[in-house]
Amino acid sequence: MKKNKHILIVDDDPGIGEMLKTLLEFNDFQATHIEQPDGIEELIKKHKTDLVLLDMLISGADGTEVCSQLRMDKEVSKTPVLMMSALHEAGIKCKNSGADDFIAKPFEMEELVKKIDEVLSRQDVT
Amino acid sequence: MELKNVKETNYRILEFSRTLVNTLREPVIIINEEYDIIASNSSFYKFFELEDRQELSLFRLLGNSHEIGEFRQFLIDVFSDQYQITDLSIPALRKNSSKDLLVNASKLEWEQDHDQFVLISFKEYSGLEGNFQQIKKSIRGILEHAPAFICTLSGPDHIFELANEKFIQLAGNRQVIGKSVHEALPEIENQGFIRILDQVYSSGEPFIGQEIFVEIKQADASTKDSYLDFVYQPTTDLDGKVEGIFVHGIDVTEKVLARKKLEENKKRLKNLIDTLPAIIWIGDKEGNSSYLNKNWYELTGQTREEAKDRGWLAAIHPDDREETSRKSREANLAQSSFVVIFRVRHKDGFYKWMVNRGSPNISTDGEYEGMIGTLVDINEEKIKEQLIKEKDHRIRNIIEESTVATALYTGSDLTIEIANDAMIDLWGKDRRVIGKPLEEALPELEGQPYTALLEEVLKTGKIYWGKEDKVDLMMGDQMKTGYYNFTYKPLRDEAGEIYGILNMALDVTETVESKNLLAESESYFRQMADLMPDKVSSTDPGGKPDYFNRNWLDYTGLDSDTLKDLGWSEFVHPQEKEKFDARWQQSLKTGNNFEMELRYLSKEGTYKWHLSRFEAVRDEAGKIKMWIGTNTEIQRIKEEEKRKEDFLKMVSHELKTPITSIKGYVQLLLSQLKKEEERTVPGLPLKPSLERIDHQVRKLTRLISEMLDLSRLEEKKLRLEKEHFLINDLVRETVQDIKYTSTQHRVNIHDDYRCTVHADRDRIGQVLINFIINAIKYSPENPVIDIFIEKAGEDMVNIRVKDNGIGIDKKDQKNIFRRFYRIGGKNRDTYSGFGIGLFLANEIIGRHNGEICVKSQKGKGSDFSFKLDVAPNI
Repeated sequence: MKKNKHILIVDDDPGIGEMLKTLLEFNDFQATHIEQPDGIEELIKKHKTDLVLLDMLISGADGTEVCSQLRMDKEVSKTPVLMMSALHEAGIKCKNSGADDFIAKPFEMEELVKKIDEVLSRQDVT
Repeated sequence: MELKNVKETNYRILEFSRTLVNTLREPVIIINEEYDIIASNSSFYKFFELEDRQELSLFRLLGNSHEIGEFRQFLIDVFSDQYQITDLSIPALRKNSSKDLLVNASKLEWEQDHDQFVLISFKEYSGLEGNFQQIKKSIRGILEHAPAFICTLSGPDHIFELANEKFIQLAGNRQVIGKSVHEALPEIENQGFIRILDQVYSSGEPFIGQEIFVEIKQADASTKDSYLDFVYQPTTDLDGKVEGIFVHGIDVTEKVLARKKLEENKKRLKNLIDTLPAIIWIGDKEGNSSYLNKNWYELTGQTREEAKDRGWLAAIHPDDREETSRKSREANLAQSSFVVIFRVRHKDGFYKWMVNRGSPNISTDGEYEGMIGTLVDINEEKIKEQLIKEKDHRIRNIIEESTVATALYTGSDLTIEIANDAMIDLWGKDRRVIGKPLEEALPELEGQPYTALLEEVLKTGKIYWGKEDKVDLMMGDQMKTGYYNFTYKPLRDEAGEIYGILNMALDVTETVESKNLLAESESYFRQMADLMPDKVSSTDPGGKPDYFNRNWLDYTGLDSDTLKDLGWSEFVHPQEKEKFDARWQQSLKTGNNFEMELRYLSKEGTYKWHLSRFEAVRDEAGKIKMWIGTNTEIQRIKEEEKRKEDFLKMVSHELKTPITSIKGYVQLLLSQLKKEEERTVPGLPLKPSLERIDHQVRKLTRLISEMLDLSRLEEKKLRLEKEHFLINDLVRETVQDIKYTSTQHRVNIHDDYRCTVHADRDRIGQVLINFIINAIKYSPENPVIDIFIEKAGEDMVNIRVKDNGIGIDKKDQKNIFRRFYRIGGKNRDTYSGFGIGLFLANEIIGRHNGEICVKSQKGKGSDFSFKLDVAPNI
């Protein structure tokens, strides 16, 4: 079941992006990593992405704004977004911008997987 | 008759002489050339009424009458050349009679003796003997030039025999000689003169007329009225029979008329002075009262008889009588003016004060006639004076007794009339200054404005109020400066004239000096406040601003008054305004200190961050007197803090990023190892190594978080995200977490109480981790740690972490929750750490309104605990 799920990772730090990709693939997800949010809607549509793992602080762009835009784009507005940040107390801001959940960096792998599963299961129910 | 001590005389001559005189009936004596009586008969002594018959000297015997001279000359003549003198008339020699004497003398000579003797006989002169006609002639000569009018009348018809010039003039230059009075002066017949002449003629008694009025016709047929003083002296012939009348007199018409006029004037004057309201008196030369006008009698009730001479003194008050009497007597003797004040007894028995003024009464011809004067009622004045005296006395008493320094200056030289002890003390003088002019008593006032001020008060009558005036006074031998509140009050008499100045003074030196000190310290304060980089202000107890320092004015660009009107709250940034108002009002209400960070609008239109603090200043009773506030500009600090926070945020973000990556890979590897447990590389402890890396990464993550928390705490930005949770669960999870990494320690959880709390789960967990990690860190020898979850009080839970480690010194226990505090000592450096863990724990628990607590004994382990409110069960 997980093998069908595609997760789009947006993080400007390739060290984290690649780690996440590896980690998610180890956990049986399909993952794509991009460093910049440009063309994110097309990618979501192209990959039929099930979840966007979005960093809040992307060099040159604000993850919360990206999230808001996604929420406004009818074609992708239903795609769940899990935001993450190493910034202190960023959770509220992220949730306010429309993210389904938030996870603080650094995180336990188990916790991340758990959150992703939670968001996806909520999506399935709806 | 024995006559002794006579110059040796021939006995026979003496014998003869005595025999001779004794035979003669007339008074006879015989004298020698020394005028000693050698013989005398008793008729002589009888005639001269002499008693002393022993006296030999004729002249000594007759005494020193001036007529003696003529008699002596007569005797010298007899002795020298004349043999005999007969019937010489000489004036009265006798004491008992004024009648002239006829003296006969004849020289006695004896052949055998050269001595000469004279026999003298005396006889009373009895009229016109000798050559009468000749005498008459010589008399006429005398009469003609006499100043009086004189005439002689002879016979019962009063025929004019002689009349001098004056008489002829009186008679209007009529020819009167040879005529009778009746013929010559017919007009006087009816005036009674002829009857008087007849009377004198028949009786032989003279008539003396004084100021007799007579009308006599003049040559021009007019009538002249005259007043005459005259004497009708009868003249007698040798037989004593009246033969005529000698008339002599003077015209006193002018004198009489003048006197009459004077009398009239006097009468009129008396009438006048009787009507005067004053009492007028006239005294005679002897000092006796000769006149008092009727006012006196009306006042005193005395009769004229009672007041006569010095009787008026009886109406004078006994106490004044002697002085009055003495003064009037002395003035009379000195013929000078006098004034005396006395009380006169009113007829109703009371006394009235009067002033008596007397002046010498000099007649027109410059003669002193006594004193004349007036008595004026001064009772009211005197009573007033008395009252004033009493008042004055009372005032003096009050002033003397007063503890307020008081002095009274009088006159233009400002003589110190009165000065009470308080004033004298104030001056630093003694009582000798009283009576001296101020200038003399307090010479140090020269050059100070007070003399001029006093003179000004004397001149203008305006009160001068001295308010904390500085006065230099000489106290002993030292000049001292004092400050005084005083008045110079002009004093006026009844007429409204200023006669003096009342000076009342209060020494306010201490007040002024302390005020000066206060002003000085206030000025220091202001200066200090102005120099302070802070904006300093003060308000009244109600919060109304009354002072802003220079920085405030510079910052707002306003002046003090405008700023006071506006109030500084106008400058608070709108975002902080509401909170500011609420908190400031709260402080004003409760008196609690105010502290807040806020932005104020500057004159450049920008807002700058300030730390505003206000503290109430209370009086001794604890009542708020004022608020003092400082506003420290913290804009730069704020900016610095912001930068620091941003920096820390970024630092932690940047640090966390690689950690995230490392952690991800470690966990990935660990989970892969879990899957393929058998695939272990021999000799390579892959799993424990990875676990260690993971543990260190966690620790690093926590440190990074704490660092960030600290900076946020300081800015009070630490936000709590409270939720309900079971505290026992949190303890378990936390211990579980730590157990992963610290395997050699055993942590026992004692769930004595189970409850839910409403708190920030992560933060409380942070505190727990801190406690547990500290317990592990400081008990290297004893690995057992106990955690107790206990009920505390009614509705609190106490979580206690107990170790058996090295323990903490008492002195360190209270500092242990302070930021960056690390326990000192030789082992300090052997323990790592930031020194912020317990500080954060304390802050976190504080923000949960909980209590944090440590109990420890050196070498016996520590007890760290915190209490939280138990949440009501939902």
